Amino acid sequence: MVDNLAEDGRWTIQEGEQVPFSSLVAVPLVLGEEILGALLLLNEKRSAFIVEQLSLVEATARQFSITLNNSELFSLIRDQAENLGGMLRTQQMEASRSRAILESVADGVLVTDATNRITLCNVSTERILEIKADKALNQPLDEFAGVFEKASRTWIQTIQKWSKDPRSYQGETFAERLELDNGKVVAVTLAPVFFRNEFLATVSIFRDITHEVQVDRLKSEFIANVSHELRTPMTSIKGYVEVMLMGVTGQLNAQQERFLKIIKSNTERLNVLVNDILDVSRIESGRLILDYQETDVSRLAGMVVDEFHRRSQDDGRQMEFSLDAEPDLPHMMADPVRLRQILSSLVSNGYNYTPNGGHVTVKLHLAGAALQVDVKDDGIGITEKDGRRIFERFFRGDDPMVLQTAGTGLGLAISKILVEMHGGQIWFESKGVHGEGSKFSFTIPVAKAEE
Amino acid sequence: MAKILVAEDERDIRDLIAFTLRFAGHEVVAVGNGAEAVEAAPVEMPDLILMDVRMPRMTGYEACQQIKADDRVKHIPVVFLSAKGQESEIQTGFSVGASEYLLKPFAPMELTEKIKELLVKFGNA
Repeated sequence: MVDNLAEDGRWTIQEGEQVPFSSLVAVPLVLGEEILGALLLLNEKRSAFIVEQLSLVEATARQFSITLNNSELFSLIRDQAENLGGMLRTQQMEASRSRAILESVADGVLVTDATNRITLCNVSTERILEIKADKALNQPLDEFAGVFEKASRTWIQTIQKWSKDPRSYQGETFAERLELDNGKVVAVTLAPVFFRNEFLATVSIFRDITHEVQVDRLKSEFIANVSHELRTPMTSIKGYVEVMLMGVTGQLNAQQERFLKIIKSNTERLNVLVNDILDVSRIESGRLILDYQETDVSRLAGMVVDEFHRRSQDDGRQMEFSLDAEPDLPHMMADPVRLRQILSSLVSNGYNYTPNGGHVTVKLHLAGAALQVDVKDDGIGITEKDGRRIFERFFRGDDPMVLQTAGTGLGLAISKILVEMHGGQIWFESKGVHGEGSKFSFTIPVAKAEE
Repeated sequence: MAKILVAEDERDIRDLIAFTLRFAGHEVVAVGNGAEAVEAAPVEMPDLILMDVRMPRMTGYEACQQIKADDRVKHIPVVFLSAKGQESEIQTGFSVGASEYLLKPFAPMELTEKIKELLVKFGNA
């Protein structure tokens, strides 16, 4: 309480300032421990306030404090509400944007939660799997399994396995091809969703590859037809040339015989090319299946070595072939036709790329649980540059000896695939020095490799 | 020597097969498609039938099936000689009753040898 402002030291009046009031009562506005402000009552007259009025002013101040506090609280709440509303709007926009993106991707997206219920099924999934999202949503996946046909069994089983035991997921990629009863072929990839080690969901992506599969089949049919069409004239050429070479159509002079042999060897070359292309087409379309049988590799290698020995004599080339097989090699589970194809391909390379007087050695020995075959020659070898691409399709080196030899550049590429299909490995060693040759090795597990 | 019925639509190849087999001493009856082979088999009663697969009017598969359904001729071994060499095609050949499936192109000497082996195997040598 101040009776005279002009004389009280607690009220500071700046110089030249005219104060229209003379007395005041000041009460702090306090809420709990926090001071919100002060309530001042001023009067023109001196000593206008009396002590008895003070408690009234204090009571008023308390009311003011409460009101003031309420209004602050209100504006605080209003600000918060606005903030929250804004966030909600942004989140809704984000969600609907994500939703719009999911709906507009051409691939089907299907999400199942930790209990195997379908929680998301976009328009493309509806189109590809021919299901209705409103019927699929919130349904357990296995109740819905019938719709996806029996082709999808492993896909559904994988989802169930992951949800039952999330630790069974080892980071593998699940990719399968579903052949639906409606004739569609669908590629499905599946991945689990983990959040802080907790299994949350699975996401499946479906892609309709019916058209691609059809195109692929047409391509395979085309290749099969073309090779058939090529073999028909080849049959006549090869057959008649051989009949003439047999001398049954009359005695041949040396030049006639030489020319006919040229025709014959080029027909062989065409035949190899057609067979290789058919093999590549079969490998590409996954139609090449190994016919596992108990196989005596020593015998097969012996046949191949003999075949090339005869061929070198027919070609008038001085070449030595030898077979060095470890005694008592076990018979193994392999496709004998394909194994012979691999052996022939390697020995043929040794024969073709080794000058006259050279040696080609086939060595068979056990290497752990696999049989290892080494085909070594002392021919032109393989340069480091060529070595990097040697197993690529249609790749051929540019050594003059390669250029003058008939070949497709498919032999090693096919051999590599055939070895790997058997569960083995293929590699080579060469310094790229003429005369030091190269050594190709491959392994085939003695027991059939697990698929 | 044996009597062999050859069904092959490509004239050049038919002549080549006939020439090769006759040179080896066999008697050859040559026809141009599967239907003619089915007709000729009970008339000629050959020891062996050597047939192409893809032929007009009637394929080798169909002809083989009909021959194997005919009591008069079903004992005669049927051998396919085809340029169609995919596993499924060879399997189809055996499933319709063929005794052997040979591939084109062929070497005449090898064909002669193979036919000789088959004739021994089926007791008509």
